[in-house]
Amino acid sequence: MLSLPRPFQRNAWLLVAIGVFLLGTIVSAYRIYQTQAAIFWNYRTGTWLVVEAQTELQNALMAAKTFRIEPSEVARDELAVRFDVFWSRIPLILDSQEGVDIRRIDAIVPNTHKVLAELPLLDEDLERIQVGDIGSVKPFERRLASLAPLFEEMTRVVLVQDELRYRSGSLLKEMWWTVAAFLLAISAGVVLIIGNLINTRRIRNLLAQREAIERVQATQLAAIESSGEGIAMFDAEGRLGYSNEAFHQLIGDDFTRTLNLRSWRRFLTRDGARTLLRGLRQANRQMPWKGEIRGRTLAGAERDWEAHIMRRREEGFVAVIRDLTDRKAAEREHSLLQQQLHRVEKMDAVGRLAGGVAHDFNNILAAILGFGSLLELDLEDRPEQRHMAQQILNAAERGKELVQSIMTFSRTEKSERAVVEVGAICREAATMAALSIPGPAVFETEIEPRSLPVVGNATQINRAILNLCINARDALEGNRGTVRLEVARVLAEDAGMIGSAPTLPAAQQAVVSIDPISETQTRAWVGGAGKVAEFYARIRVMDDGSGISRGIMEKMFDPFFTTKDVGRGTGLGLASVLGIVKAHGGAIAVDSTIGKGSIFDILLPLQAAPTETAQAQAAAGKESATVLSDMHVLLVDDDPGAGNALGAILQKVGCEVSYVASGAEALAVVVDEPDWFDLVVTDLAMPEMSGLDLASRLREHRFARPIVLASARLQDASLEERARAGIEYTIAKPFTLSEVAAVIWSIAGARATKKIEENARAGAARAFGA
Amino acid sequence: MQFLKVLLSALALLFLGAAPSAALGEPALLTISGEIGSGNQDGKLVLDRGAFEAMPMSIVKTETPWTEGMVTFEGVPLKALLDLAAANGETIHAVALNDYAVDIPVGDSANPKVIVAYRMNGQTMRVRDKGPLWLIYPLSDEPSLRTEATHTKMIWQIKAFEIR
Repeated sequence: MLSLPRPFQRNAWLLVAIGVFLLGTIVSAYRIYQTQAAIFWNYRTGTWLVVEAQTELQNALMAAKTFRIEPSEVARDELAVRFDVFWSRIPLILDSQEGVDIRRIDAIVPNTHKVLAELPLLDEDLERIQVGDIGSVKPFERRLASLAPLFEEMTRVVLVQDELRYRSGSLLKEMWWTVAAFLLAISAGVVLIIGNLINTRRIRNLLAQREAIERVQATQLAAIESSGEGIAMFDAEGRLGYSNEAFHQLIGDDFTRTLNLRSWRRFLTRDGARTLLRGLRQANRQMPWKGEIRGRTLAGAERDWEAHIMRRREEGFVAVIRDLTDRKAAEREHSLLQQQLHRVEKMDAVGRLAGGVAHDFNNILAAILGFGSLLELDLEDRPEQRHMAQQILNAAERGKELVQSIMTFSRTEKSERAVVEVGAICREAATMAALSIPGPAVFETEIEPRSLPVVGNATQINRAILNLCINARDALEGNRGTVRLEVARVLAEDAGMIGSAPTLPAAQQAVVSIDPISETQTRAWVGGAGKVAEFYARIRVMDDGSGISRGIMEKMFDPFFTTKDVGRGTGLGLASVLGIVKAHGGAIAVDSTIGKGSIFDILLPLQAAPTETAQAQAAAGKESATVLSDMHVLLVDDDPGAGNALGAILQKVGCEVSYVASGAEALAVVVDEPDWFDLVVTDLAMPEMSGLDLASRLREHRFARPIVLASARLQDASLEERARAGIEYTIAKPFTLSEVAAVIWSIAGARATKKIEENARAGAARAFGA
Repeated sequence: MQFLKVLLSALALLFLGAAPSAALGEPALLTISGEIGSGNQDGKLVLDRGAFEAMPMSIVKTETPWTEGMVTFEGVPLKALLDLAAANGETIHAVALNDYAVDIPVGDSANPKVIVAYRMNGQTMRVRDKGPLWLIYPLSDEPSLRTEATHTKMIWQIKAFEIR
């Protein structure tokens, strides 16, 4: 395709018109040229041949007339000469070189031939003319006169051609001028048309540009209008000209008054005005001034603003303002979150470390406690030594508590969960707390009598309450004061008891937020931030002691952080409380005022409906004494220390004990003699074959007797895994004699019950059968 | 014989020149008037065909715009005629039968080939053939003469010369 400039494409018809016009012009010019060529072609010098011939014809006619007047001989000779002269002209027209051109003219040659044909006749007529006879000339005269029209015609055409020929120069000149003028006009027209087209395009482009600019301006104005930053323009006198909506929001304008022409000072504090004047001096056209400035709303409230000040070309200045008040708050929150994250990470690291140590320590404690309790039994008749053994047991018990605390906050401990009654646990804890709060301090309790069922671990909850009570006691610093334990059932909405604290606790995400209320009062919220239950059990421990400073509150949940004297506190108290509460999906809220005391709330999600409690089990554990049960026990443990201690205790309880150090051995023994053992007690974590694996294999071999899992890390085997492996009973390491005894007793009891039931059924069957 | 003829002609001419006569009964072929030294009739030199043919003759072969092909003209050199008339003017005012007239510089007669022809291709020229006399320039021999001006001067059907 032919590629044309755009205006031509758009006006194709115009282009065609121009083309036709030019073609017409060229054709016209060519025709004019041809005419001009014809003029030159008709150039001739022979015109006079015709003219002269005609003249001689007239002369001859004149001579004939003269003869008629006077028919003399002279007149007749004269006529003959005239005729001859006329005759002489005729061949010239037809033959002469000069006549070449006129012979090309129509009518010349035919007419001349007609004349030529007449000449001999005329000659004959001339012969017949008699001197003195006027009538004799008439035939000649008539014949000659008849030729005149021929010559008139010839003269006319020749003269017309001659006229053209003579005027050819000027005609030609005229023609060329016409052609030139014509071409000039056409060129001018074409140039005008093209110019117009280009101009049209330029105008279109300009219009498009203007539209684009208007669009951009509209967009810019919209952008300025909707900008989140306040924009205000002030004139040379410092009066407000333009301002966008964000600016009005910044100064708290409700659009009830006109702010135009108000001085800029109206929107700044005295300090801010000084800052702005300084900024204006620094700002020049190229470099805006940027800085913080104290702004003032119309209502007079002071605000922190970040301002960009630009001088305008026509004097005055533009201020772009952002409110920093919110940003500063956001920055504070951000740094707080950062601190919290660090704290959480630190707790996690320490927790892992401590958890690892605690596990190994548990095995050691298991040996001490196990053998200690055996020793205590053996020394029944030697009170002095027995007392010493009891001291060892007491110390080991404290060690056990400590390890449990560590495992709790590090969440490596995941003990059995059951639905427990918070009220009952608290009453129990209150009894113990009352014993530990001495002297001038008063301990009060107010416990909700209604059922407060919580899915959890009674021991852990108990420990948490005791911890808080002991901390409250310590906060009194031995002075007069009150420690109060309150247990209440609260709505989830009321659970966030402390003012602005996050509303609801949730297990999925731990949140530590510190909320400084005033110089002396601080609130803290630790735990989840989502609602997990309709109702919560709120366990509140309050004191009117020394209170907690903000600095301490930020750290008090950290492990190993303590304000107590060396030897009096482990630094694990609140850390383990937090671990317990989190494990229960609960939260802790703290509100403390220095010099006035502190309130600690533990919030635990309540079960929808109370179900049976685990108190029976706990009661079973308390059944102490040595219950003799003639059971044959296969004991499996890779740790000889712990294994021996447990074996000794089992023997003490009255069991016959066979000890093997690995699962493989145990399996071999049981498969050989499945009926030998009434019970298998196995450690959980063993190389090659774990306690769970062993249990599964035993069940595969149709071993139907009870299997007990004894471990310091019972949480490593979930309830489902245990159920799958057919494990019904557990012993937590480290253990005491009474704890082991409780388990053995319940197994023996179940077995006895089963036997009685079997007997009864058998008896009934017999009765029916009879 | 030829010699005798020429001699007789010369003599006749001399005779005519000395005593020009129209009494021969022949019509006048050419009348020379004006600034001439010798006339035979009222100060004019009147020559008839006989007198003309008695004069020395030149032959000029040439083409002309009015004839076809190469034509042989026979006639008297212009110089001879002027000498005969003892012309002492600058211009010959030549007049034709139809009173057409043209001025011819006397200087042209210096060319011996400029003749006043009375025969064309051996034939005496009749009035019908542009006769009786035709001033002929040697156009074919001398291309410089082939101009419009020369063509104008080549007057035919001459009846008189007036020397001015």
